[in-house]
Amino acid sequence: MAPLLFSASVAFAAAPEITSGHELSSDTGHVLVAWEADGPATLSISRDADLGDAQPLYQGNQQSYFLSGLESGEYYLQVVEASGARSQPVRLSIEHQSLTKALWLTLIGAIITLGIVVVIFRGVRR
Amino acid sequence: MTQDNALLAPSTGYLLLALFSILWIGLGLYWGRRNKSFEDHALAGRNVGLALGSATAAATWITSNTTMLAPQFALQLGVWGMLAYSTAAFGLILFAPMAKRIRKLMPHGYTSGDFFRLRYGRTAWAIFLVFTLFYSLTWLVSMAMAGGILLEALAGIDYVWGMTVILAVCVIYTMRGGLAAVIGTDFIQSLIIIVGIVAVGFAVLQNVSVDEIHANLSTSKPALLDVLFPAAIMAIFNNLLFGLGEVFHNNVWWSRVFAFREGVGNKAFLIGGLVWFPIPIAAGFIALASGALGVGVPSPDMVGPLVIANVLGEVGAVAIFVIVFCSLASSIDSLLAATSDLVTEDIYRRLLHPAATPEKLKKVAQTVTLLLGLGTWAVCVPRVGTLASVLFFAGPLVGAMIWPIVTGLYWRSANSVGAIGGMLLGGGAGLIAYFQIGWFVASTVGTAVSMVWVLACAIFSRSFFDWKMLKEAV
Repeated sequence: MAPLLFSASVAFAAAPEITSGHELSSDTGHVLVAWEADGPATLSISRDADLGDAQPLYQGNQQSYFLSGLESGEYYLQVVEASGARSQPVRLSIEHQSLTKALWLTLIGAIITLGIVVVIFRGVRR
Repeated sequence: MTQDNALLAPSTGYLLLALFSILWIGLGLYWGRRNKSFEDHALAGRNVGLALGSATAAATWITSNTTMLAPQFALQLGVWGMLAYSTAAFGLILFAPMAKRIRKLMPHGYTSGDFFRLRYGRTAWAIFLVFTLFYSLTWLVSMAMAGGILLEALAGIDYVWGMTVILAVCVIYTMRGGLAAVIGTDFIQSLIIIVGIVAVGFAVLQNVSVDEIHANLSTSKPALLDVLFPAAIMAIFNNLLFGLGEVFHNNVWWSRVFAFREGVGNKAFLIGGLVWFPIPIAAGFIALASGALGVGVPSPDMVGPLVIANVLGEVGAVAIFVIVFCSLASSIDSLLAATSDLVTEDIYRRLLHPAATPEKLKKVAQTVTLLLGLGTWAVCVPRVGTLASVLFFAGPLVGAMIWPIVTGLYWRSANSVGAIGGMLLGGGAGLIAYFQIGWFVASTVGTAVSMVWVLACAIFSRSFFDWKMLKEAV
């Protein structure tokens, strides 16, 4: 009976699953990736949909990983358990905020700050 | 994170919690023994010197956000994020000359609410009270919740127990000792925090070089080194303006202006700001080293403790526990004291009981502190995670108060229509930007809209304020 039970458990063992969503996106280059897996697992990232050049990001018992500092582009994430079971790859789309908008808002912030400094220090000198 | 992967054994955590609780309560009772009147309790007798003044300015500004959120900023937004967080130091630095002006214009003042009431009238005062109480209470709730969550993460101490102990300790010594106890404990807490953060920074550098950190970031997190990282560059002035708004309006800082000895405020806030400036950079640097050290970060708010524990082992875990406890206490006590004084002075005394005696006011302030503590506890117990994030809504609200305050202190032509419109229009526009674009622009937009309205009203104003009206008799 034991071999039968073992093969049944292998047959029905759930594959790991990335639970953050089937498609992830970010306009800041960072995202929290969460998954469910039995035991230690490896989270990998790739620029190819077939995960040909996958690079490991994390290996261990955690079930989440904070990914940051990514440039704009398409990425693919996958979790692989020690048994070899693999999750469905999840696509991560990074599209950073508009640089033009960012520079304009930075300029506005600088003008406001300069204005505050001028009001305070002109007031002090009087 | 559960007890299974806490950084410290719960017994060690409980021991540290007990030791520091006894220390803070004992010191609070000792420093508060001379308090007789409301002025003693709320303003430490208006006699705080430069050393204590500088330390309390720095310590109060070192919240658990500084030790936990600054690394998170660095991990999310890179080098610019780390520098963006440190720009909050300009809140204290620019408040230094304002402190001198406030003390000169309002020698008998008690709260920032007094300024709004006397300078702009009751409508502006009411809007200010709504904005500042929203900000102060959400900050208080977020600090207490952070305390419970961090103690659980660091030492496996049950969330409700950890949150309750931190809150209870701060309530007890603030009730008994008033601002004198808050400032005294801040002095010790600031020393512990600064020494701890600097030691941890050097320890990280012993384990990994700057070149290794740079190489790791270049290959795995290149945007963190990008000079033109859009969200990060937007965050620079947004965070600076959020910091200015927080310091310029809140009674935590105004109560210190009134508590400091004549001539001390200017220097104390400047020194406090300069001392504070490098702390987020040191804390953020720790986060940038996480990749090179091979530390997998399960959630961004835990990057600081995880890296420190990885580098220093149990000693590091004890260090971060003590640093976090001190930074939480130094902010919670200040918020409790300043908010209870605001409620006592602006609502109880000015609206309800103008003839209340100084002794009665002191008892009311103590009761309000207790009620604030109990209310905060009741809100924190269910551990609704989204509550802490509500604090970020306050960014545009506090940004919208900057121009009414600055022009109100220096320009006779600044008027009520400008202040009321600036706060409402700026706050509203900032909240729209928060939801339409993101948190990293909300304060900038709120402050910009407020500035345009306040300046326009001042330019076209035909009335000129008489500064003597701020010198209200006690």
